[in-house]
Amino acid sequence: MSVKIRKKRRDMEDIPLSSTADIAFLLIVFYLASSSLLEFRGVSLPLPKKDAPPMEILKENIFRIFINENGLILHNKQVYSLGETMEILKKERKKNPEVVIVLKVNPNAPSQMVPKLLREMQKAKIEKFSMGMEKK
Amino acid sequence: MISLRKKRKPIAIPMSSMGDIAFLLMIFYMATTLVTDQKPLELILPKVESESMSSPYPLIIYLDKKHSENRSVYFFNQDIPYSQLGEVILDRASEAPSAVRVYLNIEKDIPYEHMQEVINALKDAGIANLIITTQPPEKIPGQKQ
Repeated sequence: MSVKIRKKRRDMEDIPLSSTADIAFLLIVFYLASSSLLEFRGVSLPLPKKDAPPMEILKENIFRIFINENGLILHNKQVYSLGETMEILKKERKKNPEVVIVLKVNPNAPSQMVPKLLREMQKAKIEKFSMGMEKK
Repeated sequence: MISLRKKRKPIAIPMSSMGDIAFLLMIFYMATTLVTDQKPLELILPKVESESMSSPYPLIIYLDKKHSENRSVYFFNQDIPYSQLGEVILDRASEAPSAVRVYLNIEKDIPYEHMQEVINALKDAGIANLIITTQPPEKIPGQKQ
């Protein structure tokens, strides 16, 4: 006759997990604090293709504006403010929907004038434009 | 005296799932953030009211006075001459897992000829779109937008 010796059942020991949440949240806070948010605001400028053929524009559809070395906007040798220029451009487009704005910028002009003008043209939905630099 | 009140056991709030939630949040945060090794340059950008144009893979070209004098740009912690910019940009773009966006951070008073040189280099490299980064203009209190 055999005697069964039963082992006493041990209760399962609990591993305390409540602190893992604290650790994970601390890690999140560290991660958030040590990373920086990159946000860019800007003006989009579509670039032509490298081998794109030159645009053929009828002479009567060209509307020229210049930015001189002091960052002033000129049309027909007359200086206009940014607001005035936009009014002229809007009128011109209304008169001739096929108009192409040809912008020539002086090499020494402050570059900030370009995104300013581009942004205003984008707001006015003037999409037909060409931009280049005046010869030195 | 005999107390008739039953002794209630203290209510235990199960906290074990909190750890899972927190770790899930952390994994989401880590998966959605982008780690870049490019140290930025602090520049005074043109003040223009413009829209947010963020990208998961930004290629940022910095052009300040010091670099423009040497006819070079600052790109991924290196000084790159205008003549090599297109090649370097294409190398970086090929490493990115999805489409990249090219940003030009140009100091507001840099002469336009430098901007044109960068535009020409990007155009020759086949970049279709460039974003000229700006900063929002200061708002004057009481002024209508």
